[in-house]
Amino acid sequence: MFEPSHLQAATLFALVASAVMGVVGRSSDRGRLRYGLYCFGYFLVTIFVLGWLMRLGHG
Amino acid sequence: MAAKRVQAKERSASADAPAVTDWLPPTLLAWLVPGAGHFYLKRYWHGVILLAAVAAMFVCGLLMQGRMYVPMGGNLFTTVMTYGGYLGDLCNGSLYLLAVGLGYEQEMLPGAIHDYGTKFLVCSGLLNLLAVVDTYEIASGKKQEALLPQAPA
Repeated sequence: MFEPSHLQAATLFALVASAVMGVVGRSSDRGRLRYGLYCFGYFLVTIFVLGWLMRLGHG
Repeated sequence: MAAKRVQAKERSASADAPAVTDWLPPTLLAWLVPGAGHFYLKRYWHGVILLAAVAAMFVCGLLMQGRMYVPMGGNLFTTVMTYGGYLGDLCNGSLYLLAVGLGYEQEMLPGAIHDYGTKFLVCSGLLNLLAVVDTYEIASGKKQEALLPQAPA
């Protein structure tokens, strides 16, 4: 069985979702790469911020 | 006069509308096999990336022992959750049909990992839905590709 941690599961989701969003989201190859990296970056920032908010919220 | 104008507009709209035979086969193919619609439209690398991404997420969901949703009635929350999840699972196309056909069944287990697995299975279907919509837009000419290889003049 595959048992990733919360962070690993969220990062894996971010990676896969960004790849698909990059491919379908823009019409040029350069645009796709930039948009995929942009989405992945925002996913990671959101994971980091929400992770710390939950950590601080629970004490 | 106005009726003639409406008729002319309808004629023009139907002339501009893409033929069903142009977009239906790649769209169905894209639903059935993730990335296959892009392969059909000769976007090979896009097809490879979509297939790898959707299949990876689906397989991770299975390895985390996620559950497939079964549509159930009852209260509004249960109905929306189970029917929504079922539609999401169904969007995986052949991956879902194969898993269910081969007898994949998972009871509800305690722990966050199994819940993540269930969400991974639904999300892989939703990502495939994005790919299906993209295939439709390319096949029907609604999405202009910027850097397609040009035929030599």
